[in-house]
Amino acid sequence: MGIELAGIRKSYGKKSVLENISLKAGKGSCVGILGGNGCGKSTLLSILAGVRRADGGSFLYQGKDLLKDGSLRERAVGYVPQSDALVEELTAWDNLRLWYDSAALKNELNGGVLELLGVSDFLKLPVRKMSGGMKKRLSIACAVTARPAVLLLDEPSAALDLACKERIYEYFGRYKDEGGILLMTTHDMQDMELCTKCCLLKEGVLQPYEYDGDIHRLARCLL
Amino acid sequence: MRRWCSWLGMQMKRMLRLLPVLLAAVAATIGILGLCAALLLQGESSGEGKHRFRIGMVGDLSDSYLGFGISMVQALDDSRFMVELLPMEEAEAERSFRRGELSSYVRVPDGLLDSIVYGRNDKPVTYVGSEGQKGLESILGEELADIVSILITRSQSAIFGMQQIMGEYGRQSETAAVTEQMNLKVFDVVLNRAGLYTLEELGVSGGLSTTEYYLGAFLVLFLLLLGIYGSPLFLRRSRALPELMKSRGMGALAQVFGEYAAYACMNLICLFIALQAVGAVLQGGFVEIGEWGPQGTDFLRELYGTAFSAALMLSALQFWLYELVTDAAGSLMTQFVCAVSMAYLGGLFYPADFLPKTMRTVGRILPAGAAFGYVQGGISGEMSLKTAAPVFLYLILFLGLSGLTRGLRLERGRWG
Repeated sequence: MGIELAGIRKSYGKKSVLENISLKAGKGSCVGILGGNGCGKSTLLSILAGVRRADGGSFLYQGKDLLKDGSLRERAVGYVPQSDALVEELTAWDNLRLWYDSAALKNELNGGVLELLGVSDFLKLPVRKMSGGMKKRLSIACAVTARPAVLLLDEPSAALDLACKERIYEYFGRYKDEGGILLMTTHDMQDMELCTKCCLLKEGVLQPYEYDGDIHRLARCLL
Repeated sequence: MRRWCSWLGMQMKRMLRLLPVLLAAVAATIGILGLCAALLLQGESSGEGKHRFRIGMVGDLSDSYLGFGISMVQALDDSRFMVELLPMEEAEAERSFRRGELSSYVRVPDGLLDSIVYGRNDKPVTYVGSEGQKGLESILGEELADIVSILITRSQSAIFGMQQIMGEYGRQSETAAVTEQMNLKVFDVVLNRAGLYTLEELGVSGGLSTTEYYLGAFLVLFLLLLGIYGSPLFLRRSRALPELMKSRGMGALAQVFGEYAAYACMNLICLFIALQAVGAVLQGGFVEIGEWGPQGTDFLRELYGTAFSAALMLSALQFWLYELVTDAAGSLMTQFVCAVSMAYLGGLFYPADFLPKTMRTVGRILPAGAAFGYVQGGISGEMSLKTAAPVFLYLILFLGLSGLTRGLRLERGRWG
């Protein structure tokens, strides 16, 4: 069972940011949304995550519109914002406690998603002392508390080194294999290799894009 | 609800992590404000300790009446605690005035006494002050110079006038005795003029004594400054976290309540420590506040209720300002400018009665003025709905505005 975006629109005043966005994604797929800076990629993800309101359209999952059904959306959708949604002064453990109750936390640390992401290695470390990779893994760990069917990723690998990328790609691969749906915005070629489908968002319109590894062609399309 | 409790717990933890640094800053503030208060109180309790206006007397002081008058004023008069009259040469007076050692000087013209004796008024005493002086001190200096010149010259005018009348009526033989009597009478009246009236001090504002007024003022000023000290709590906030919270069903208002609760709690802890410090100073007898008697600390305890409510309201204002302006420099500037301007208009630096009526009215309506009015009510024991209602209305307003601002920011995605 997949997801379907239909006719999503958003404008700020007279400026239209998203126009009639439609997209389908099946289980175990990864959709990459490409586009220039400020083209509305993050706005689209934040609408799907329920942070902002759409002017119209629907986000269907299991026959229900997640833009209207907040409680189902909270269970079904995980969201990893572009910058890390963490409290700098506190430890990884403290941050996780916001999303997991004690029992779930212990469970996930022993063979669960937290172990898979390697978060258990730095549980007592304050966030301000963490590397970018550690923060990103912790952010993802916070987003997948409810084991969501859909994971929205806003430029997940931005400013990460190769080793960190490998680690999170490994997790995303496993997430896909387990039937999860990944929807990510990116500028990164390596991210795109993970995608089963790519789309180009330009001037508020989302259109399919066949990525063939030619970044010059992609750059021309973005202009 | 479980998530909100976790959110609150997390904010409390953040607050506790930052508290030691904040307390160090608070200790420094208490020290500075305490020193100001102690100096103010010391000046209040002793006339000797007050700032004395040094006024130079230059010109023809050779006349025995004038010289005697100046000596009497300096040695015996009540004004000796406020005014110091210093006979000197004009050049020296000018130099001292330029160096700031004199508040002003009075030039007594040659032939002043002859002019008075012959009933002419063509030798006016000249007050010399700075051209650009506009402040309270210059006004006081001018007033004091006037008092001195009037005290000396007019009393002499009366004596010489009396001598002239005695001469016209052919009673010169009695002049010496009558002059002596009149001299004694004048000096008696002048030097004992403090006994001619009793001054009932109604206080600087709102029926409070100067000490009580400034205690309230410093308290509110301290609460306003906490907005600046609390900045690490706001400037290190994750901007993505509120978005994630909203995506998990926690709306802007719920987020704001959790964060505000932690911030207000931090300010209340600081306020509690500040009041404890004041209590310790009073109990230790380092400073005495006459109006409160030996039970000063009990009185202070009664102040906690009003001070805490005022702290909650001002914390809400500061919280909203941090929601409104999110970049580091801008938000600190906003906190500082708001605190200082509201403190000025609210009469926290010196009584608002000195301000023009419109400014006074605006100052009273503004949050700091409302908080100060409420604290003053607590100090004087005259709490009314009129003073309490604005504080609670402001509290609700600022929390509502904070929620609205957060909601708009989440919707528009703009953080700074």
